Amino acid sequence: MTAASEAETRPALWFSLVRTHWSVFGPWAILLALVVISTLISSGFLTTTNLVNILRQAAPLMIVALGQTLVILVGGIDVSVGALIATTTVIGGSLMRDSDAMILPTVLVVIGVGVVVGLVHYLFIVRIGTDALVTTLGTMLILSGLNLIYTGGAPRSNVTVLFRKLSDGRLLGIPIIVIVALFVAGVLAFGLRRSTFGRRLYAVGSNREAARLAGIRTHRVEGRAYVACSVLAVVAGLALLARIGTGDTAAGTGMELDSIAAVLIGGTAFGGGRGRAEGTVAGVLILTVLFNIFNLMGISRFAHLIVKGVVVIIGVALYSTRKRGDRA
Amino acid sequence: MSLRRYFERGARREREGSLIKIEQISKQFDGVHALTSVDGEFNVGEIHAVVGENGAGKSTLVKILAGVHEPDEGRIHLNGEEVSFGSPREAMDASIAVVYQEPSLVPMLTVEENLVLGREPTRLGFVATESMQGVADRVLPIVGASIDPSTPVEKLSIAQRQLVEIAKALSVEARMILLDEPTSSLSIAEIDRLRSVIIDLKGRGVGVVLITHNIDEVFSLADRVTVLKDGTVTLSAGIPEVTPADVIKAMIGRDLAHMFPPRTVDSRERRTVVEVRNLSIPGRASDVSFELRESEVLGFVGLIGAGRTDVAKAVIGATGRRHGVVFVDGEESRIREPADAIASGIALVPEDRLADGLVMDLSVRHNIGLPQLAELSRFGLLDRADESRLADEQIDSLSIKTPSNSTIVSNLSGGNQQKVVLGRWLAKGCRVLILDEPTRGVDVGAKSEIYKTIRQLADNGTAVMLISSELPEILHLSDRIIVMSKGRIVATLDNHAVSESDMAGEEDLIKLALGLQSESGAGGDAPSG
Amino acid sequence: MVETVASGQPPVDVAPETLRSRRPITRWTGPAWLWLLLLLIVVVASLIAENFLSSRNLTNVLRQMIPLGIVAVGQTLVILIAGVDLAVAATISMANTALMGIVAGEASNVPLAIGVVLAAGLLIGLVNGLIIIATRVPALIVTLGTASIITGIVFLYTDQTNFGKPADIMTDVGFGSVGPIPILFFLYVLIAAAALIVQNRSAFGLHLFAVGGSEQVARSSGVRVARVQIIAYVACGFLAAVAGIAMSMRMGAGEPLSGVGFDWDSIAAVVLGGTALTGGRGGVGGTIGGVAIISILNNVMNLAGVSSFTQIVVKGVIVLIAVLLAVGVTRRAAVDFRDLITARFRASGGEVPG
Repeated sequence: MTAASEAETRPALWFSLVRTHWSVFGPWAILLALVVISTLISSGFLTTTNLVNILRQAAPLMIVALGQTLVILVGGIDVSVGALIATTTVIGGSLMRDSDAMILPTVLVVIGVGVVVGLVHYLFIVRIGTDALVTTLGTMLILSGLNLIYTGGAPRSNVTVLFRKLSDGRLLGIPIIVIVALFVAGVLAFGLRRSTFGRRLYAVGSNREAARLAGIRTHRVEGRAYVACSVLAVVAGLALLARIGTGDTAAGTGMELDSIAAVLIGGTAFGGGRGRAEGTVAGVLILTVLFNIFNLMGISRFAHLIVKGVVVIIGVALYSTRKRGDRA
Repeated sequence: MSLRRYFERGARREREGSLIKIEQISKQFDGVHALTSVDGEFNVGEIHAVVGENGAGKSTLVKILAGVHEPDEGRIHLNGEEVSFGSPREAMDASIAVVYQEPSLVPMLTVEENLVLGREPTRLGFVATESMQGVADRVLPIVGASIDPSTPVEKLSIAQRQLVEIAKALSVEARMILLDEPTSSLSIAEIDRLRSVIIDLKGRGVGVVLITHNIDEVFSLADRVTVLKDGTVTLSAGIPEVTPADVIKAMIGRDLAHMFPPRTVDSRERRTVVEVRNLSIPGRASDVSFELRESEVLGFVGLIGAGRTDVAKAVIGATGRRHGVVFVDGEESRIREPADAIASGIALVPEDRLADGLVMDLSVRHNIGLPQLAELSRFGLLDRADESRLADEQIDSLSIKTPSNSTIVSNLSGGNQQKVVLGRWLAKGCRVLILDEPTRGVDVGAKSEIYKTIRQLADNGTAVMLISSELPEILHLSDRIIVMSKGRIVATLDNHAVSESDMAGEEDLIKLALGLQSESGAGGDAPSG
Repeated sequence: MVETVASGQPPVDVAPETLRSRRPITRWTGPAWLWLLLLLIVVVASLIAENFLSSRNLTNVLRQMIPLGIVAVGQTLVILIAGVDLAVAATISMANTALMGIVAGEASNVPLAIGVVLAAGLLIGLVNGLIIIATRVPALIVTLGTASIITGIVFLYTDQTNFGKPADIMTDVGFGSVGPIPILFFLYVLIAAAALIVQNRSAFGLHLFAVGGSEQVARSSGVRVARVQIIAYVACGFLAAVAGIAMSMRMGAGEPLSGVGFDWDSIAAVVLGGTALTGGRGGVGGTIGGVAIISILNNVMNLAGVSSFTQIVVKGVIVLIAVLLAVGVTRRAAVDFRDLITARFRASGGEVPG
């Protein structure tokens, strides 16, 4: 290599090093900064009760966002997850019929619904090639409408006490729901890094054609991502149901956007191929801590909306690199 | 821009005069030298052909003249003054227009709208229709385009779009027009028309730089010719001073012979692994039939648009609609996607390794192991030690220069990137390996290593389908050679008997491939359908 | 006149002037199948619902189309350059509440209120455009972010309750009509016509298609890409504010949630109208048809007594249909493009693209 080209690569290497590491550590740095600021602002922040509260708040969003991570990693998006969460609470709330014996069948049914939704996405987006954003918008509308029709506007609540323990109960002092969320996070983090599915997911998300020519059945990989996302949304819905104890057609409103924001703030790039589950966890915590500190300070929810918008834009701008072919 | 400024611009250019001289231009990408110490002179009122094989650097030269790249070394003089083009816009302002191979028209807009795009004659922000129509009426006849100027560009044929792009260059009063491989996908009639346009341009005092493969074009059109080979100028002369043979020799040379390892296995008696029968891909290939045998290297040669890559993609299951049958081991193949082909032992090293070959975000190790994820894992979890070992084996045997097997491939040079793609399939083991332009953008050292690997593959029993536009490669590596033109096979040649000193055979082959003559008269219009 | 250098001209078959026909009509009207579909829906609707074709119902339908139509026109411009604006819903809510708040029942406040709201719409669009260009964050996220910010501001301002009061003159305009045609419908027609003219006749319109089709080609033709993008977003924000104002004319107070749904609805209308989400194809003409279809379907469902819940489901189905149709559009474009590229394939590699 001539001197000229060496000089060219040296700064280039630097930048790419910083950039890669920043997208891994960046979200945590931001989270740390937020935590520090929060501790300074409010004395009530760093208490065990509050911290546990934060984790419990974050749990459903974390589960949804992890599912969304898979879809975004593979180059897609899913805005129907919020509606699916509502569907889960609505169906779950009515099927359980106050009977512990019905818990398992109910869970199976709602997971089945999640799988069906995921398969519809697979059919449209992966096989036919429709636009992911608008297609999942369509399923979101259909699910919302069906929720309302099913409940007639008045959701039932037949959730058993045992089921509610999912949210209230603790294991070694930690709320069960938090354990579930962290478990999902752990599985995904591990799986994305070490499993064949994870490797294929990254390959397809990064360069679908190259992955295809290398023998990866890209349709299957993408399909699984969409189905996993829907199923995880259902799981999140079950978590929410355990907490609120009743079906709610408005449950999960806004969670689709929050989940996308969390994923992107966490360093996963729009367009796919780069990102980690851990980053999403950080992104979720950032959003939840933000919400929490506003609560502690007694600031209205409205100001929170404003700050959230700003945080989302800045957070994504910090490590968003648009890949070619992305929407402007 | 108002009409008045339109004319002022033209008048200004009249006073400028027009001569481009380049001195000692060098450019490299990632350590690969695209151009080295290139000199040249391009005058107005002259047709200057730049010829060379793939990888010779023609495209880089065009891009430097067009302001897309800046040279690492060297100077560009415009009318005696030294200039440098920091952007395409600056080249445009210097009256240099380029007609690329990539489309640069907006499909949804009409012809006349495209002609004025970016320089629209306006009145209060609205396009002055009459002026716009005036532009179209002025330049379209010059290029002989009988096109309705209010047609959306998306409805035009390739040839027509090309004419429109040339017209667009004229509409900005360009004094130098660079045409990059303009005839590669045109029918005979369309080529004729383009020829008369080019001659007419010369008559108008426009300078034309014609990048081409086609010796025939060079000698029927050009006034001067410059030959590039491996980034350097091997010949630069006025047309009357040289013969086609001189040009061809300057293009391909003969000193590469030592790079090619000799054949050790005779594949003539080997069994057929893949047979393609009557393969037709609408719009790209028509009635293609051939056989691939064990231990054989089957070379595919032809111009761009000949359909070789499409055939390769059809064999591996990467294309959509096609007719005809592919037999693998005597049985009709049920290959629907590349994964199926790979399961049958057929793999492709694609032409564009950046777009289709490598997953740039992943490491060397990950890329090499990609087809074998199932084999490298247990219960769905990857065995990283195995994967690492696999990659190291390939890094070793192919001499891939990389800091480690976990380096991200985008950091490697072109030659090493190509080796990674090769290594992937060597590691997996294939019965049939299709190589599409395997040494494009690869430095000489890596090239010879790749040739060695190809020979080894064949010796060990793999059937190799070698698509290449580099004639020495084809000639020295292939056992048989198939020549394709415009989607059809025009000739099949047995290369076993061609010895190093058999010049006549080589020249015939070259002429066939370059379209100078068609042996069976099969050359002609593009296949319909 | 232009210089004509006398030289051996190649044989010209026909001079372009004589070949010239009218520009494709579909640039003005949108795709033909869209209007057939509309016709079909109208026919079926008049069979299903007895009073569909009544003058009063016609007025209703036209009235429905006004806010959605105005927003959708703005959204078309943004989608044409391969962007998207999800802040329109929040912008409408802002326009509605701010207008009512400033007017507070006094007719004399109306001009000021309208001025302020329109300025706010312009500002929102400007902010969107600038952030998208400067940060390279996808438009989806940026506009979601600004939507959140605007919504927060609106909620703060109104304390999340109904707010303000219209002036009588506003209500007159809002409910008034000329024959069966609502007054504000003329506003919509005016806006749509203006947008169509700009799209098809102005330099900016050409630039929209160019930037949406390929930023690179546009740039190398000398188009100022960034400026085109910003103008598109500004126009969209502005039109969203106009839509909010139009809507307010028929409301009794400012509602902080009045804009909900307009973001997705406008996108659905645009996509249904044949504009590709990837940009560069389609246009306002098709959007008009899309808006008409959606509004008529809503109306028919109301007449047929379909519950509002079911209507949401139907809307979702329409969106799915629209997106399926869109695949046909983009697929045709992709095939076109790919043919072009492969036929004129890169002849020489030899260099690793820098």
